[in-house]
Amino acid sequence: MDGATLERVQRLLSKLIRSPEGVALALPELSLEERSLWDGLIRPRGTLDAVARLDIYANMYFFRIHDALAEDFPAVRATIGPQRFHNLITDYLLAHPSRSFTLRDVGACLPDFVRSHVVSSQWPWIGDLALLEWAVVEAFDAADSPQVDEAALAQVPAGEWGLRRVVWHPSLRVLRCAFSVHVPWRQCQDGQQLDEPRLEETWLRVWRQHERVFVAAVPPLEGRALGFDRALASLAEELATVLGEEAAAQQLAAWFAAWVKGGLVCGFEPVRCRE
Amino acid sequence: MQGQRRQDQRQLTTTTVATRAPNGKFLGFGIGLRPKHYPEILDHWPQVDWFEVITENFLVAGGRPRRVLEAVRSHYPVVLHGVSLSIGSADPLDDDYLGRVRALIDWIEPAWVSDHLCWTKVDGVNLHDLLPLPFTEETLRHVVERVRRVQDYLGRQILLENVSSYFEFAQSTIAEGEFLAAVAQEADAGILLDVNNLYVNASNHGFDPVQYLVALPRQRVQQIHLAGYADRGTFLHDTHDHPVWPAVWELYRIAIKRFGLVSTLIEWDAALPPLSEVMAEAEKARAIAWDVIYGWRDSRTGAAVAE
Repeated sequence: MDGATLERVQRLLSKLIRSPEGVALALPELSLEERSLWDGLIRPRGTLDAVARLDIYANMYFFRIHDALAEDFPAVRATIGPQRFHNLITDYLLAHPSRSFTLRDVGACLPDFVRSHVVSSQWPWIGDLALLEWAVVEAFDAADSPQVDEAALAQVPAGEWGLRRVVWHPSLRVLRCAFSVHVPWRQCQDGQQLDEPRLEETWLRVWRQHERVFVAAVPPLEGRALGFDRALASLAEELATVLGEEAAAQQLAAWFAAWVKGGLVCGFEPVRCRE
Repeated sequence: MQGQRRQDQRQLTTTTVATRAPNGKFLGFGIGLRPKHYPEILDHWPQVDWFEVITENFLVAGGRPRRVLEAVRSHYPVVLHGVSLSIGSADPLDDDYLGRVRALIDWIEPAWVSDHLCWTKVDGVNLHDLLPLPFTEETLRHVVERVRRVQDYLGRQILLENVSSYFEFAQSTIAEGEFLAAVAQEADAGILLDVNNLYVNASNHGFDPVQYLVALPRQRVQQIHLAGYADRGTFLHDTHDHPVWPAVWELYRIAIKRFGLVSTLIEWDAALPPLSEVMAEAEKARAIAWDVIYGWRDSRTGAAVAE
């Protein structure tokens, strides 16, 4: 079996293993070239024919990924039920077969995919829920970075605040959702029955502190401020247009104290002008 | 090439038992590091000789997985065991993946690094499974060349594990054991002998597992895996969800006779029992190895003892 044949064989086996209806039903769909490659490819032995033998891999392929996604998206699965989740993953894998070396990444496209899937017509919040669950996966093993404490706030000279930008913890994710999906997410975490979320703009912050991932709903104003990556003077200006200058300054001070305490901040670095 | 492949095929009729590790790196009897056991390990630092970790689980940017690995490494020898090298794939080697593995090696300094003699992806699509290769001269050349490149890139020898399989290619012209031996010899790689996989394949494909052991060059076998399979009636399934079966222990005994003291590891992934049960399996392996090598047995029961 030369290199070109090896490649054709592996492509054929990959296609059959990933076939959603099983190997037997995929065989009639093969091209003549593929069919001739398949015939006699697998050594017959005992009571299991070639199709049954390859089906062992086909089943393992689907259920290994299905189980990984069920672990990463427990609230999505609880919302739509195991059978629909099974069908959702079948459809998802047809559109987005894994291209990563790790199962950890296999759900990366599910939040977008589910928004256009038929399940979202019955559960219109399912896309937001999947987005939240994926943010939790990402926050869990995002890069480490030392978080600053309250003393760091005092170390920034008063006149320099406006020229600094916040260095956010790499695990921080800020989500703008159309539904209050953190409610059923929390219920799923606690093993409770899931309520339908309300249709209301909801800002969520997801982040990791002390190896635990946290999810918190925040007011829209704070949601917009979180993750702000320009000079703090710009943030203060934008906030002042909403709250007025004095109230904006007080709000910023309160936010910084809370963000630092919550482990969202890794520093306040000078903004460098681009040449 | 045929001569090389056959040079170590002596029969297992000799009473001489190899007593030393083939490469001087004998870590003892270890277990796989699994998240369910993290709390107990980190709280009590149990007496485990060494841990094997799944490489890909730690190719992440940060967080708890890396912190746990760092802590475990500070207390125990650690070996990296990959599942995504895809050494037999028709796809090019994945430079990004190899770069990450090399960075992990530099950071954690494992005793050695292993992966599987198989393919897992083609056209960039990963099946996340360990698929068998056709055992032909062409595949052998393909794999050997890639193993050499991987070893050059990582700056170290790797070990390759025999995988369990549920079909064989009709075009295979080389016996599986001879193919594994040839890859190891010609690429100057080590062998991770999975005794459970060997038993499963011998049953599924109808060959003699002892002849397979005979085909493997002694000095290349650096690690042994033991695990439990599930009997599906028409085939044996490598599920890692059972204790090691008696027939696999028997085959392990023969392997130790053949290869001497080889670092041995219990793999248990599904239906994972408490840590103490997995550790007890490692102690069983120790007792068998000690019995084979030194003839140590319990004077009252006649059972093999660990020490």
